[in-house]
Amino acid sequence: MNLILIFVGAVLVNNFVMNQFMGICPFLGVSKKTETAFGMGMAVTFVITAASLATYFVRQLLVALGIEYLQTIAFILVIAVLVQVVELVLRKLSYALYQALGVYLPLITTNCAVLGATILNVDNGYNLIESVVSGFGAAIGFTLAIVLFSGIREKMEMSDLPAWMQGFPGALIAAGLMAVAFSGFAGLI
Amino acid sequence: MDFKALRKTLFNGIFNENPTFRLVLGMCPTLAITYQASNGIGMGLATTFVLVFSNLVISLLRNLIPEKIRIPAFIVIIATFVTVVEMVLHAFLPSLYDTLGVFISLIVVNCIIFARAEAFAFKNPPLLSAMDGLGMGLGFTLAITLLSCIRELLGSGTIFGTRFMPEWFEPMAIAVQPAGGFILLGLTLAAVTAISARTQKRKEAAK
Amino acid sequence: MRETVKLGVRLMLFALVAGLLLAVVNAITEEPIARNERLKTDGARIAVIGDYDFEAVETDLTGYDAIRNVYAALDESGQTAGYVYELSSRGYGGDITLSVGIKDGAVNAVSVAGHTETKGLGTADETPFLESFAGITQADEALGVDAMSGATVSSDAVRNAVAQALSHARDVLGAQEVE
Repeated sequence: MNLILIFVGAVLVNNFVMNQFMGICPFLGVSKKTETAFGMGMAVTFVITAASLATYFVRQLLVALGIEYLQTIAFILVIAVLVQVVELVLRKLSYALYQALGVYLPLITTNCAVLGATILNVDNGYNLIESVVSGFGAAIGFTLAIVLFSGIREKMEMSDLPAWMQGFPGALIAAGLMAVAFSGFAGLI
Repeated sequence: MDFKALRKTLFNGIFNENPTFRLVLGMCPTLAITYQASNGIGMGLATTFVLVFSNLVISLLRNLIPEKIRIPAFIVIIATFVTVVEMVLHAFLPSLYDTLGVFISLIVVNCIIFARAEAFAFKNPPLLSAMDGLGMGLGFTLAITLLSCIRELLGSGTIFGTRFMPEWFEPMAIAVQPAGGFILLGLTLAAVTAISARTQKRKEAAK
Repeated sequence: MRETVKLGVRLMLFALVAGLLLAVVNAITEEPIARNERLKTDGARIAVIGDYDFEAVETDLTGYDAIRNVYAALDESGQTAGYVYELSSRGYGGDITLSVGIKDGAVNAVSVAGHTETKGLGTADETPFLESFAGITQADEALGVDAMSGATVSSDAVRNAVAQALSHARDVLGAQEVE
């Protein structure tokens, strides 16, 4: 039950993009086409879930050694290594998938959703399973937001906006309206 | 020392290539913590500190860092300074530390810092790089403080906690909520684009 | 292969220097951070009784429905200097959470932590009301404190909570001490 609450909370109520403002860079940067947005979402989902798992053990190690203050540095390095590993494994296992996701992988290291998810797991005092569920939920929430948003932006391409509204300003206002819709989930849990 | 180049680098970051309004980088903190003016300044200065020192150190070490491992090396250097900021804030400014929360650690993944390390500090001498960090940092600080003042004014009727709006003004709660953050940043960005397009046109006409 | 090792060693070196630097900063900031953290958890308790160490007290709470936790305030020699009660009492729009510090059988201070009341509590009006409890020793006296105007239900909730804390300190904890 608790796990379901964590999952629903992470996907809808505390949606990473719409409510917590994490992963905004890829959200604005790679959301022009639904297809690429979905690819990015999948790559992020994979990395966040794996990172939630890995950083849980790293955290245990840091606590055991009494050097918790190295958390930020350790987590970001783990994520960077993880992204490299994912890239190598993908290239070996499925070249098609690598071609589809490969371009986004280097971008994921500096996606604050990944580091954010792992730090929030520690701050919330989640255990191993809760960490993984919450990380996975956050990633699904990210994918949901970016795919929905790319649908809106594909339509916006065809609309006739004044010059000063084209590009980022218009996209941000559309995202704002989407955030209004997402705030409707606030009372869900 | 070439003061002209230093000054030019400094102002380049604040105006011509303002990281928030022109390069549209570092959007996560720009949206997340700007519901209150004091947060904007705190986050801006913390980021500026990291930018100046990471740029300086990366530039000093640029001949010692092999091209192949530059990314992990940047990560280590940037994360070190972020951790320093984190510990200092936690120790001496606990209330700011609490309000900024996870976003202090997330300075590590602020794209501005990475972008400057890669595009500037790795190729330029130390003093110039530090100046670039300062300019970019101040440009970022200026932009998010402006946005946070607007949001606090509309959302709570105050700036830095002092009431500026007349009695009859009913605060618009949406301005301090996530949705308001997106919309007001969009409008501010649109205004900046419109104004700079206009001055550009005027400059061309003057020629 | 050899190049990879070389790169790895160099990266390790960077990480080592970074780690050492952080260890130094940590040594400087460790103590103030610990102090801040303590202030955050014990802040509400310190506010109502003063700067002591706190220890949860295991005690019989039957008949005292408002009391949530009881803490003993220990001075430097480990002697009990007083008690802090954390209470929650039904108010007008929801529960009011408050802390009461009791020293030498009298109320030292009362502070309200959280509530959903609309009027009175949470505004400037509550300060004189909460201050008027200071020095009171009898539960009856606490119940007789003047209410905040326009916030009778909230005032009742606070008075009732303070009275429970006082009588618990006298009847239950006081009896324990005699034994």
